[in-house]
Amino acid sequence: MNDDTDFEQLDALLARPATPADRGFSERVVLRAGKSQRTRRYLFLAMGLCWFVLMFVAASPQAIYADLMTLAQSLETISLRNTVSDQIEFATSAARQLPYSTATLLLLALAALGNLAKMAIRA
Amino acid sequence: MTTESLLILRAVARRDDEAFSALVRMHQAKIRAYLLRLCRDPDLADDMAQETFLTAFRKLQSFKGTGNFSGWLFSIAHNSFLQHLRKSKRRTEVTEQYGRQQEFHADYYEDISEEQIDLEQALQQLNPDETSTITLCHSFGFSHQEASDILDMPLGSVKSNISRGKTKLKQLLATSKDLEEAS
Repeated sequence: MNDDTDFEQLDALLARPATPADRGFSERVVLRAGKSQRTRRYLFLAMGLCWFVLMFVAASPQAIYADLMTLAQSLETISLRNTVSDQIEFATSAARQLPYSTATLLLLALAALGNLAKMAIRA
Repeated sequence: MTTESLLILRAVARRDDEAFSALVRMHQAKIRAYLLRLCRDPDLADDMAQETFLTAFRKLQSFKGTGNFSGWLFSIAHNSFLQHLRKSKRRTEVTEQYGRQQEFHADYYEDISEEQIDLEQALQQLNPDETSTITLCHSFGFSHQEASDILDMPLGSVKSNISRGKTKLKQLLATSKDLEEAS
């Protein structure tokens, strides 16, 4: 048997791939697709509901002001301010002790500021 | 307009479950057969095929309708396989598996002849690039250019993978025939 015949036989065999049996596969996929579609729909409805609630809250600015005041009072602003000043003091005293140029010190100060911002966000 | 195009339109425009179901039934066998040839595990192949169809359902609106729907599905399926390889972080292990004989699941198929079993087993000895190019072009009738687009592989590589893979297949099938005759 020559090479060409072999390849022809192989091509013929490859052209008839075995077919997997469905065994409920299609149904499972359609069910899952329907489920995910329903979940998305519920999520969308929930988001819409949240939006409505927000609209109601926004419709009454006085209520929002009162809420913000309560929130501001609940935040420990004094401890935050102390932490910030401690950080600045630490950064400047450390900078004075180091034999670095002004540009390097500036970079160090920037890094310290970044650190402060991070702490403020966390606080 | 073909039945498939109508079904796609219905599934996109009306989010019609029945149209989507018909599209799944129309393409599931090819997608599952393709993925099984690549991953060699029927359960995993089914999981990936399911993911393929769900992704297609979600992204149906992005299908331009100008190209080949089947090709679009195969490209999603292939990406799902590649994603699996990346996720499992066992790419080297999986690649090492190629060339080793795996357990063959004949019951996964509707109807399979002895010759087809030999072919599927021989295909297990090829690497994923050879298997995917040969399957797309020789089993599912895509052109080399279409396979290149589906696999995101240069046209030259598609052709060389097919040629190398077919030579290997021919040798493997001849060996298995010799073994059968000897026994």
